[in-house]
Amino acid sequence: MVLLLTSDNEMFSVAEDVIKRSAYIKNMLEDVGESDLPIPLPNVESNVLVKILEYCEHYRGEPLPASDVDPAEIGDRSLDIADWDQKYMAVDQEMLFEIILAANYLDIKSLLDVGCKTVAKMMKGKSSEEIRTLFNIANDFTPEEEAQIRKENAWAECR
Amino acid sequence: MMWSSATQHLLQAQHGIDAEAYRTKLKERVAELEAEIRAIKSHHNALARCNRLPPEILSTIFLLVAHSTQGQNSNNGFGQNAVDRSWMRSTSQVCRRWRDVALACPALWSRLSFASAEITKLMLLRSKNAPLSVVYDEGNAGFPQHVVDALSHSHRMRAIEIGSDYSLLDLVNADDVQSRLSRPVPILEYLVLRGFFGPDYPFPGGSFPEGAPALKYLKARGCAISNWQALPLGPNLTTLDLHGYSFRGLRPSIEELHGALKQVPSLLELNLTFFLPLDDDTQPSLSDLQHSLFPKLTILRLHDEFLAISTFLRSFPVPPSASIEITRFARIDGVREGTLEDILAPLSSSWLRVVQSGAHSIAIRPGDPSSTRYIYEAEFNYGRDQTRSGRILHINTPGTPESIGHALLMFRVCLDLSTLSVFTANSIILLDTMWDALFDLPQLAEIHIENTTIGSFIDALVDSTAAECGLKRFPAFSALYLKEVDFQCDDFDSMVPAFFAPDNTERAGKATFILGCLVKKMELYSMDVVSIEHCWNFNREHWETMQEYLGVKVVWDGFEDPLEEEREEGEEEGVFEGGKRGEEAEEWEDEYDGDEENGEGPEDLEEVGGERGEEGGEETEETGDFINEERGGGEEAEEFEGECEDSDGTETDYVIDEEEENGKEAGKSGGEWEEDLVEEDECQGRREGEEY
Repeated sequence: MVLLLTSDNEMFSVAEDVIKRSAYIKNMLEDVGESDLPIPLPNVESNVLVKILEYCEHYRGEPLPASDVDPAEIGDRSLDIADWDQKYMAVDQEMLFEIILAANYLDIKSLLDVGCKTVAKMMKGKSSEEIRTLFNIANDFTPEEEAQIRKENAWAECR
Repeated sequence: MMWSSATQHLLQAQHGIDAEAYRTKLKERVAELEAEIRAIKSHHNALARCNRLPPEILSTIFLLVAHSTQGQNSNNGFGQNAVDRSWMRSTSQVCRRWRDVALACPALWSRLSFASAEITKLMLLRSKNAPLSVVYDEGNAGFPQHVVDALSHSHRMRAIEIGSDYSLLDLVNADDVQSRLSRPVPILEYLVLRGFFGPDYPFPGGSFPEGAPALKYLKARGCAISNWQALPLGPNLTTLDLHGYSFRGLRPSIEELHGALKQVPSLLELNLTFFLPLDDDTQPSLSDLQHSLFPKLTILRLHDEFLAISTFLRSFPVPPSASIEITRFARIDGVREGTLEDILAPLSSSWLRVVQSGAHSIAIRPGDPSSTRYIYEAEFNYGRDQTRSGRILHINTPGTPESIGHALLMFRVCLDLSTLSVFTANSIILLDTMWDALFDLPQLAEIHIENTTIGSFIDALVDSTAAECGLKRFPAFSALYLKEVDFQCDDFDSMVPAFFAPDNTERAGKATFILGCLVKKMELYSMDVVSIEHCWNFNREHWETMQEYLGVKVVWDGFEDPLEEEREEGEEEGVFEGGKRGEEAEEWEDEYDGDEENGEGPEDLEEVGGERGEEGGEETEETGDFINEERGGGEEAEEFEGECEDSDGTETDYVIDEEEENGKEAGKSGGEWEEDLVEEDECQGRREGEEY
């Protein structure tokens, strides 16, 4: 078992084969070896870690994804998300972004990928104003930037 | 109104200042305030949850958004010039931080848009040194200069996909495009060139002087290849798809093609259309063409005349990993290629080689199913099934009975079917002659018949007289799967399919119930599996009796023809109809025991792993198979297994204990069957409910 200490000082005891989906923890265990000391996770709160462990538990025993994927190589990757993953990601925005941040911190690539796809699906096909409303973002462009954007849009629609 | 001190000071300073100068000061103050507002908005944005994401994650999300919308369009063939650029609005035009992230991500701008010269230039600039993708179909207007200019960045090209409505030769500036494609492309991974109508265009001859070392995917449609050595082939190529415009085009010799394919050891998929050698006489011996060609090949698609296909199969080794798909094209000038034997005979030796090589599967289908020129119209698929030993043969797609029957016989004559263990006929009309091609195959154990009549099959099975004489037809036959088969046949003697009958009235008069005939013949075989799925004129009573006579589990999906039930209104009620079950277990009894009216008692219903309680009897949807176990003499228990989907969507296994009733029911219907079977010796039985 591996002990994990969250930022709000909650201790979790997790089976090694579950948490090894996190490359960060896996590497740490390999580097440090067996230890009774908990691994501190200063960037992860307990409620988020519970959710992360739910994911790791679900995929327990399944092979880890291959090597890194260069974001620029994404190519035509679709935004398809497995059914279970979709249900898993049906959380409020705050938790969604917390999961992505935790997956990034813990280096769980498949979860990070699902998180990014979930957000991309939310954004796809929406106008800039709709995106602002969706994510509670204000338009802070300068008049010059606004003019440049108008020009780009005109060029993009030219044909 | 509360003013800031600076604004208040400005408003109070109006007197004694030149009006113009004052207006300038006011404008400056407005600009200050606007900047302040923007700063506050930016601060507000910084607190937005999404903006907690680091730039690298945000840019990954932007790439997903951009590429998913762009990809959508590029799959549409022509018309993708109207590439969806909505990703720009939903990424780089939302707020300053997002714009900064977007502009700092060159890959986001690397799939060039050609909506205008300005946007192309802008994207080239913003993509910095990122590998570029050019996807452009010119329709019939030629390539604009900014597309040609973009192609000049050959050292940055990762993907090129260009096409024309006509031939690439017809392009207004074809030479310009060709010259741009004739430069070094060190990182090019994906190249697609498409010309659809018109004469072949020359594959960029002399192109890629330094080759295309990174190329993984090469597809050229409507092209002519004069120099196969000049093709940009290399060790990284996994897909090669070359499509000539017509069978009259320039073809490679076996040596040329062999030389080209030798360069692509990583090939996974090979599609050749009208590019198969025809120089049969000069073909090298197999020993010259070693088996080291494309050892990883998984898909081989050959689209050509049969002679060319045959030449290829004789001359090139096919690895066991490959699935082969052959599509025969008739000559466009309408000249038929002769008889079916003419077509299959050249294939025989290659077929044998393919089978002996252990190729994964082989499928043969016509190039254009709508054409009437083809000698046969069915699709044949002969292959290996991972779960079984031996081979499987599927025949799909309706064709004329004569053509398919003849094709099967020719298959038998020309090709080796001795290892065939599974035969599937789907939606084809089966005549006696078809079974003549199959009845003595030593390993044919499993027969699947779907969506067609089975009269000829029953005829083809061995009868008792022949069996007594030691004659064995279908010697390995042990499994029968029937799906969407009607057990009421219009004219069993001639087996004219129902839909050939001139009118329904006449049909009804000649209808024959043939289940008894089938069972009687199957009794002579040692059956392991019998499966009945979605068959017509088949009900629970038939299922039970069939099991009794065959002494084997008959897997039945429980489907009963609702129209049949209507016809027999009052006799039985709602057996499995519409998936709706009663609300109480008692209703199950009623439903499953429609024969209560015939003096049979109710069935007990138990839920597997517990009693079927009140909930268990609620609305359910029958989804499972029925397996009758250990029927014997009407006294042994019969279990009725399957799965029910309850109204809440959960599935529940169930078993109906028919222990007590079995004796009565089986005894009764069994007796009737016996009579029926005797009567149907001459296959004259008629399905009329009570006859059973």
